[in-house]
Amino acid sequence: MKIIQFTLLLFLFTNLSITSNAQCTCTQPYQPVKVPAVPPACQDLAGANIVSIGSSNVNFTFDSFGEITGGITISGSTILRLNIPAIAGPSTCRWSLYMYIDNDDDAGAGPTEWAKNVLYGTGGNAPQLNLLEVRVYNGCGTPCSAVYQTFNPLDKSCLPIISDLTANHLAGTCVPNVNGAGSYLTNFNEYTFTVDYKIVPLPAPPAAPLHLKPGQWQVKIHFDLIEEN
Amino acid sequence: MKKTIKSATLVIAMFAGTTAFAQMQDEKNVTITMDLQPILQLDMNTPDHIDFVFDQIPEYIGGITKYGATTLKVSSTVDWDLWAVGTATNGGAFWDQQAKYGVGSGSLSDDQIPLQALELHQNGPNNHDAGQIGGITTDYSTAFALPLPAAAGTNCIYAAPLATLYTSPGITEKYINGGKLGSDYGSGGSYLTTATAPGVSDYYYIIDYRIVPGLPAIFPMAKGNLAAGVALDLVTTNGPGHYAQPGIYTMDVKYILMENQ
Repeated sequence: MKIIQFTLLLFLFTNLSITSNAQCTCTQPYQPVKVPAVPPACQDLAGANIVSIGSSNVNFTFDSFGEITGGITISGSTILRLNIPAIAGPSTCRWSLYMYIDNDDDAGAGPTEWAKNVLYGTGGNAPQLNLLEVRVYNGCGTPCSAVYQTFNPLDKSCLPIISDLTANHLAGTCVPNVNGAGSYLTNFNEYTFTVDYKIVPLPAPPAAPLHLKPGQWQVKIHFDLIEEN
Repeated sequence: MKKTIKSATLVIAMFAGTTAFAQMQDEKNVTITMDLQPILQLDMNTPDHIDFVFDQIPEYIGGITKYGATTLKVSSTVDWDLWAVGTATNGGAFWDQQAKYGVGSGSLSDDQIPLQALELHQNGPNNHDAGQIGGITTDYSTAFALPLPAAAGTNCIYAAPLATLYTSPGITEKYINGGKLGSDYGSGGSYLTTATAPGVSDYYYIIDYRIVPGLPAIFPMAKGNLAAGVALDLVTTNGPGHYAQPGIYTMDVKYILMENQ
């Protein structure tokens, strides 16, 4: 009788732990994180938020061949400023900042394509999600701040901005990957991120021409602040 | 029972300590909109007026050739076709007569000179014309030949009335690049970014012009592109003894770059 009861309890708790665990790995479609069913080791980052400066709409208009081949770069259109209050709990508490691409689950778009608003023609191919290049940087450097990155051509794929899960980098050290408590008000270079966007529809040879279908296309970029422990 | 509960609690603690958790704190979104407009650019270097003055007998016999009179450079973001079309303001198939020389005209002189009297030559072939059939040629890349009846129509310009000026030529007609079928087209690209050596690039053409009036002036090279078609010289169309009336004649040559249909 005692053995049976013990086994049953064990089964129930195993199930709960599996359904509570989710993280963005940035090699697969982004998995929105879920609130754990058991209290975490860190308290919530109460009051932690992203203050976004700049327009929430970024428009690229390609109406000359020079722009088609040379591309358009929009620098500093989005600026993210973070407020992370002092974290209570074990010193392993830290935060991450990710971005992921989203085609709004457009019914007519494939999982690798931009969502279409309107088409101007019928020939050509829908632009892929890896057409958009993004560079995120700040005064202290992010791990990938020097280069433009592209998303995997798959809806909800993500890229890390701050993502060190193995160590704490405290505010005031001005190293890449600062992930402790702090604020753009007191540590501007560590908690402020500038985002540049670039699109080159027709790269120069020897890159293969894209033959993009003329039209108005759209994607969303989500910037997520996540508590890690 | 107490021992059971303690054991279970220990198991719970073990699982809690070995799994990692992440919790979303805040999110901001940016919408990226890309407006890709279809771009078809045709850059043309040419005098807007090209004159052929026939005032010597050898010019009537051998014709006048204007080499490299027009350069065409293509840039396109979509698949495209390119063709030349001859037209005139009278809306028909003949040159516009601007002036007549002489007081009276001979009874067999004609003021209707076919638009196909103008011949074109392009430096490189049409590389996308597999679907064109039934015509003498599919483009203007054949070199100018001696003005003999056997060569008539080989380089004659495609002509169309005003009503169908912007309708793409038929499957038997000439294109500079592309063709009537949807499978015949030039790919999106530009002379700016691809090889631009004449005769190599799909995006760069040099056009020569020739007119051979003949002696008498019947324009022996004039003919449509249909292989089994009828010659358009003035004797074939109007009868023996007919010739072109002296005067000033004009026509319009349009180069049309259009998205492949």
